[in-house]
Amino acid sequence: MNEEFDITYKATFRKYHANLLFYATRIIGDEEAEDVVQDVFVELWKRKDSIEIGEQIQAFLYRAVYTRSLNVLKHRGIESNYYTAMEEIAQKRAEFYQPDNNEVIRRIEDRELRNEIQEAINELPDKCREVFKLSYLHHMKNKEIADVMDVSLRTVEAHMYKALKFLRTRLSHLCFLFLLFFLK
Amino acid sequence: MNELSDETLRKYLEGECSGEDFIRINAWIKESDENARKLFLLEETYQAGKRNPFQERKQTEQAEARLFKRIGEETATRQKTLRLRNWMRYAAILAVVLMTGGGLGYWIFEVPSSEDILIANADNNVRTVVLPDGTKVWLNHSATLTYPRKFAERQRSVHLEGEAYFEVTKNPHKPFIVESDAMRVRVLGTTFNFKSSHNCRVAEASLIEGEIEVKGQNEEGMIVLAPGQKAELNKSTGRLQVKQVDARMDAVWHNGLIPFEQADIFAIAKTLERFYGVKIILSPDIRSNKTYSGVIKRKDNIESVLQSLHNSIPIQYKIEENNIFISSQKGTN
Repeated sequence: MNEEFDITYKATFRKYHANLLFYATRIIGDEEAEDVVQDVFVELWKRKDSIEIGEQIQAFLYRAVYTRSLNVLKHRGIESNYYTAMEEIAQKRAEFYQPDNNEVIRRIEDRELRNEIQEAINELPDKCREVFKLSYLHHMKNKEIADVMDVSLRTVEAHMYKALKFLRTRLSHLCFLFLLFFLK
Repeated sequence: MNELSDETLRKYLEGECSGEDFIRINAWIKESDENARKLFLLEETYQAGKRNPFQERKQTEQAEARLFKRIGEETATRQKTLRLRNWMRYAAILAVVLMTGGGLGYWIFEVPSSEDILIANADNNVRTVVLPDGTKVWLNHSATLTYPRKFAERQRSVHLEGEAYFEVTKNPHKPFIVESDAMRVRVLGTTFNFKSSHNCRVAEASLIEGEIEVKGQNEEGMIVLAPGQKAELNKSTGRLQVKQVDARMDAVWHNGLIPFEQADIFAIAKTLERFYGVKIILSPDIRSNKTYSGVIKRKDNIESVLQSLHNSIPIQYKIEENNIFISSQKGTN
């Protein structure tokens, strides 16, 4: 076996796995995303004799994950109106995630972007941050947060309002501004 | 331009959309490419902010182990293994236990009008049945399964009395539902194991892998199980509760194999007590700092099981009627 390939292969996997998984999850959901990413890396392994891992590997990986994801989408049945709408949204979303859309790939690969959001969240005052994290990262309803933190629902709502107002200004350059309207 | 309501967008981002919400969103993004771009960019940002580097590192590590295991198998046996593994991944495993009285004999009964097929097994052997969607079912003694020749459009439902183990073919658009008189189980995710009792006062479902939704048939409420959890429904009190268990042990009957995964000697002893109806006494010099993984055949008698344990673990054993004494092997401690 080619030892050099093995080392590069492993490093490539470690470098791209999380981002590719995020990418695939956006297109097909988390149930099947892991399989798709694994399949792509197995495929890459099989082609070890004919492929060299160089600069173009990022484009290759995103392209391969994208193609396989489209396949998964294609094989999902369409059953009712409800599913037709879901299906069409999924199609449109897939178009948005086309690997030729460099903006999307750049955003996913750009760690700074993510860090920025998390830093901004951490800049929130204590209680406010706690409330916002429970809502955003732990997917809890305002009512549940009020129960866990033993404060009134109104207090939770006030914290959320404050948090979103802050984040909106702080992250205005990232389109995060929409969030204020969405999360109430 | 009809704007989307804040509430609809919030539901979209948090994955809580109803059918109507999807239709509304679809109409909105069809209005202009700009709308679509806005929505997906927002979604991407929203999800990106949730990413957790620590968790991702762990995920990558696990995925790496799986990847190299797979590559190893691939190189060893080429295609065959791969196909089987994929099949396994797309199968959900479900076991249902219900108690019925009476020997029915083994027969297949087809009702032409409703196109339902009924299979009963009064044989002492386990029987396997493959359903129209590819789902595989192991029927235990005295089990009766009813299923349609062709599954309905929106869901796959079957009815069961007795005990059965299911490997359900995955189809996210068509939930698989097993019903008994007392309890109802709905398959949501990939791999799970369900177990319920009918004549017994308790109906139960244990989950091996994935996600299932368990519901009492009399408004006892509903719970979603995580792997390693078991839901128990007490039919007289109507209480539905969740317990942490080794769920795989509930499915041992279907293939006669008792699995151990990173079990220490205490866990192994406990399992043997359960399956062989013996009492195991461990001497105080036994250490539990090592764990073992493997499979034991249920059919083997306790002595041969102990013998094979002795071959791989430095222990000595002594059998006295129903009591087994296990101590560490001299000199290798």
